[in-house]
Amino acid sequence: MTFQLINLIDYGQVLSTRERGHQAADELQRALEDSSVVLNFAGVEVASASFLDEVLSRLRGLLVGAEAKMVVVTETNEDVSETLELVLQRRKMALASLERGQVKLLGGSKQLNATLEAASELQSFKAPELAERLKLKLPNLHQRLKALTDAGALAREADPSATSGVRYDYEAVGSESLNQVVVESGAER
Amino acid sequence: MQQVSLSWDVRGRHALAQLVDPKRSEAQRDRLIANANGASAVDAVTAAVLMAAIEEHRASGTSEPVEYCPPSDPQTDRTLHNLLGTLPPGCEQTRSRRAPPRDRLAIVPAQRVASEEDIELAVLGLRAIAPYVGLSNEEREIAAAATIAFAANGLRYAPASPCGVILCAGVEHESSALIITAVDMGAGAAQDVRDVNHLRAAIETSRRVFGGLAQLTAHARRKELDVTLYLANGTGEASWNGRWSYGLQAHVPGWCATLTVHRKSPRLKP
Repeated sequence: MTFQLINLIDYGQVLSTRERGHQAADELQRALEDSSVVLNFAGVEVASASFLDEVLSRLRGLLVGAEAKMVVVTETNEDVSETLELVLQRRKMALASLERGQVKLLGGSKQLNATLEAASELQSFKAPELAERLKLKLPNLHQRLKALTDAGALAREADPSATSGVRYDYEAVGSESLNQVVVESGAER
Repeated sequence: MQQVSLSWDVRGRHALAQLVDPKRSEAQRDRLIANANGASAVDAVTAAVLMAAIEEHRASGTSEPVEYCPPSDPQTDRTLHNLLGTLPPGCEQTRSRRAPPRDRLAIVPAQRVASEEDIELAVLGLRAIAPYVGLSNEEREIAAAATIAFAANGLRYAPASPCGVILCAGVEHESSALIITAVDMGAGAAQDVRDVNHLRAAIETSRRVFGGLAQLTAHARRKELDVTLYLANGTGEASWNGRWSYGLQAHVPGWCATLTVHRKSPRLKP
């Protein structure tokens, strides 16, 4: 999985207007054409709901049908996290977040969070493996996996070896590999 | 001579009655007297209205000065002096005693905001001062959100406002309430229209597109903050404290948005 890093500090310490959010959404759209994306908030003091709403509403559209792509936010301070939660709640969305070396789900239920946590430990898996780990029935797990894929927290590709129906190979981002992306780009400050 | 006269209790909506109508004052460009001598109670809205009058006068291109007469009551003088911050060039103060000391309760002293960079500076200043006046994280967050929402709305919807967008935020000395306000002189509703439909429409649009006003009420609900969001434009006014209510008032030639955070357990450290 290749990740491209977008440093939102490039748009200012205070991310204020929809116009700036629109510019950031343009950059996100270009990046998602080629790879998965890490939205890095290091150095950002405040992000307004307008700015984030512009980015997240675009992201929602981009993730439809882009099942092989993931989006993760990182380095959010308390104020940015709060505003992110507010906008995610409004948009009925969830988003993966790397916090203190752990991948979490912002805006998602406890069950989705637990599913993402278990998926991140496996990193690459098929649904039955995760179902066994979580002691869940497959139909229940499929709903959660669909929600996580729609949120860009998981990526999936059809398994070409499947003999009947459509089966998927899932990929979750591991905190180690994500940390690597952030550190290699020098974004940790 | 033009005069802005502030007397008695000129806090909040009472201050708005003194907002200069730029259309009315086109013909006369003499010295501006900003007379707060008789003021007995002031707040961030008072300071914003006074600064709007000063900035409107300066923007007219006149070389005539502004004369500021501070309140005769020492405590009111101190509060207004603090909230006004440094007066712009061309302002003279008529003062018989030394200027009072400043403190940190003026979180954002009254200032003209002309760009996104100005908004950024105001928010960074607010965040830096917040711990020193005992704001909780939730209060700090909603104060920053209001500063951005009010200033960005002003820049967007009142680009021709002769005073620009005036921003001011402060913590009340007595009640510890946190007040963030923005005032502009963008095109207000016509003076003879006695209704609040334009405000209802603005609030409905904000709700639909998740604009700044809707964000603030959502934020307050989410964090269970006791806030009052007040809007005035033309002859209409609207107020939110859990739900919107509407009313009529004296004509305001522009727009005013004010967020008051009624703090539960203030830790005031001026």
